[in-house]
Amino acid sequence: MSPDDVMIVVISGLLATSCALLGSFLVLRRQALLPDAVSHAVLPGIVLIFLLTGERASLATVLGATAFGVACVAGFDWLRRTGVVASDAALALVFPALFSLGILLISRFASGAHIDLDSAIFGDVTFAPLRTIELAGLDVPRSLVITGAATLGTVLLVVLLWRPLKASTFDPDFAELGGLRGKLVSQVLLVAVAGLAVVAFDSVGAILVITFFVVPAATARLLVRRVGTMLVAAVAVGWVSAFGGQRAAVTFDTSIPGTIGLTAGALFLLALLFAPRKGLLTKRLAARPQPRPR
Amino acid sequence: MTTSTDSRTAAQPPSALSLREVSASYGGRTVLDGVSVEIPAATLCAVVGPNGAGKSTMVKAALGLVPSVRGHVELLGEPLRRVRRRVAYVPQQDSVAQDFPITAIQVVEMGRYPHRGWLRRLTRHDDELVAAAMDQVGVADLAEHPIDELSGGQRQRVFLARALAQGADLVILDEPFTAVDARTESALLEVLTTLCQNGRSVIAVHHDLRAVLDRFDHAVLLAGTVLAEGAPGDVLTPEHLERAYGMTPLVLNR
Amino acid sequence: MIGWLLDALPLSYPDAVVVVGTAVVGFVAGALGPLAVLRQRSMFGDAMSHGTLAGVAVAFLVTGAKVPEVLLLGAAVSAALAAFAMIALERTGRLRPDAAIGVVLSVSLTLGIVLLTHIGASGNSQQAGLNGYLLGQAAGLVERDIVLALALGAVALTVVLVGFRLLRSATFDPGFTSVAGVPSWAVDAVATGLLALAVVLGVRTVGAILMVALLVAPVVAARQLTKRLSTLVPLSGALGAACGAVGGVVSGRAELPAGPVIVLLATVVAVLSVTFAPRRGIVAKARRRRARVAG
Repeated sequence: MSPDDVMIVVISGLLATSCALLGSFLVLRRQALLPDAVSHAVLPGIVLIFLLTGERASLATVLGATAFGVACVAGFDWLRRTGVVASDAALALVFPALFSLGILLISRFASGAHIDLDSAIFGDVTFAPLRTIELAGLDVPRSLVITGAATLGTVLLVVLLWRPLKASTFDPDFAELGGLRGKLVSQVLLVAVAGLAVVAFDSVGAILVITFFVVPAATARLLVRRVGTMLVAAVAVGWVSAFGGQRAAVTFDTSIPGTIGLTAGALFLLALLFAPRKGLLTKRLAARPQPRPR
Repeated sequence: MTTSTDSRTAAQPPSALSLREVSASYGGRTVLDGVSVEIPAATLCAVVGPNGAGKSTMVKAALGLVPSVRGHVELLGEPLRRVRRRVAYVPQQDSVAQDFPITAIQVVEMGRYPHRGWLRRLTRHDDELVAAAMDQVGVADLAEHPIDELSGGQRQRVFLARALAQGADLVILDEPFTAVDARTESALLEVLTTLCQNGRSVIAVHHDLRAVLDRFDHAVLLAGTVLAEGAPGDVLTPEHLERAYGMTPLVLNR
Repeated sequence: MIGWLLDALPLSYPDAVVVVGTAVVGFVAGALGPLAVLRQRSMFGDAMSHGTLAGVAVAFLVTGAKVPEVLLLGAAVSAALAAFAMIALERTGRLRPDAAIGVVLSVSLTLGIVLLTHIGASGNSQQAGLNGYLLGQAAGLVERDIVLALALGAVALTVVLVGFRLLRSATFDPGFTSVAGVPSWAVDAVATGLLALAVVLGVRTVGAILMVALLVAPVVAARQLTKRLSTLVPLSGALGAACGAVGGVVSGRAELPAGPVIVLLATVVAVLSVTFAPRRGIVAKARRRRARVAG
């Protein structure tokens, strides 16, 4: 593997790590589709910041885009709470509107501006090693710095909020009553998802964002008994997909994000069929006896 | 919710739960309308009533789990924020994420979280309380089983163990005996009765009027508002039930 | 065949084609949308429309030409496959619906992108037209597309009319198992097939990413105004058609892409209806609540 190959695997793996950590909680909270929505909804934020500052990859971009991601989540939450729109319909209403706004902004004001929709959607992790910044005298890929920081932040967040996240996902009323601030922590989680989706969007493109948030977590859920192990397994699935997908892309000379996504999909299928307890075929081979009360 | 200012005589123990003129609405519909109850401490109390009578809403309103509640609530003679750790709640089974990957012992350990907060480690004392609680409800041998592989009865035992591990002075249970086998129901009622004998208070939303008559000390009959409160025998009279249910449930005709 | 209508409109011929085309697509999507929204399967539509990309790419690879009907057939097949994958995953009981949708959505979108990249890498100059399926290209509509949309739309609506009672019990009764000996999976399959049809018709115009809004927004708006499915279907279809037509005109005048304009219009209509609808609207509910507290 060339240094660039390694760099691509590392960047994808780091991103998979943070997405898998937050994605696991989203899957357990039945909010697995939020990252999909958020990663579309951030587009107007990216365009607006570009129109204001002329930059398309600055800290301001991340903040502006995150603001729109949060707006998407807030709008979704408001519609859902009114009780007149079901939660899935609320999501399907909010994010296309924001994405539409982004496209209209581009075609009206920024058509010559190289906000390349294709690269945003198809992902450009392929070129990530080439865009470097200087850090302590070394040329370091910008994406590595950003995803590294994002991953560190996510790990800290999950460690710090471990108990309230776990308790409020499992039993929201208990978490609220027990003084664990479950509702507050849920909102922090959603803001973190929005921010991470933006960072990931910029580094690897939208399709890998959606895949990394959902597929490793869904795969891990099939394999484990404990939420702690689930996070570890999801991260592992993410890294295996990053490595396997990168190797496959080189072998078959095709899109790197695409093959990483397909590798994750293949791992999910394997788990669905052969997971120790929940596999569809495993179960057919040996029916587990249920534990009986004493 | 306002803070209590009235003084009590020292001899009189505070009520387990005191509601005064509590109203709550849900999705634009008024579910509770001016509910006032005074549930004495150290009793096993049942909240009964027909479907949609607001039983769950009443206990949730008492615990601050329903938005838009008006009226005055006191638990163990104090406002909720001062007794959070001393109140345990066993929610309805469907409000819990049934597919969450967690083992029985991890659920019971959560009972110690209100005491340890976000970050402080569980101590050996916590571990002992957890083990004792699991032993008391007979799920010690299920400790390492994932919750989604347990039967309804086993799961309910685990949730009661969590409340016990919390060491709460007031345990509130919402429909604890639905999807639970008769043996478990009897065993759990045994545990709850013992709790009350030790001075703790228990309030359970319940359907089975027969069981309420036989095993509970106190009953609240609810139908949007309180129709009757007191000893089960005085509450579950044919006249009261006629008003609540529109008919006398057959099970009570002796 | 529909030349007289195009001539009758006070618009230039290309504009008239776009407006009629978007109106027809809006109507079909709006009328079939209840099959997704009322069954809490709105995001199903999103995954299905993302799923069309792979089908378009495969159809192109197999035939080597950009015949719209063939590409649409490919899109329909892969959208239906995506839908059945989601239903199958749900039925295994291993995943919640949202996770099942998320997995299928990511995998089918990824597959589509890989195939499109492959077509792009093989140096086929025509592939630029395929990317239009991601974001839609109403401007590329021709009269033949309208005829096709009308024909398929008519078929879909006939199915809805004929099977109306079955669909009604399947949409409003979650515990629905079977009515008059028709098993639930068959109704599920027909409903899913109809949705695939709506998605495929819309993908050309508003694109795979935005298609879901066309299915959902008119239904949300119409649902605020009526409870009856027999009113809801035509009303939501009419709202969809209106948004499509107005969006088509506006986008033509302002030289904006039609898809996003239509979607924003439909969303505005939905939000207005959610807020101000006579009985179920938020304002009406709040007023009722205040009246009750005061009284």
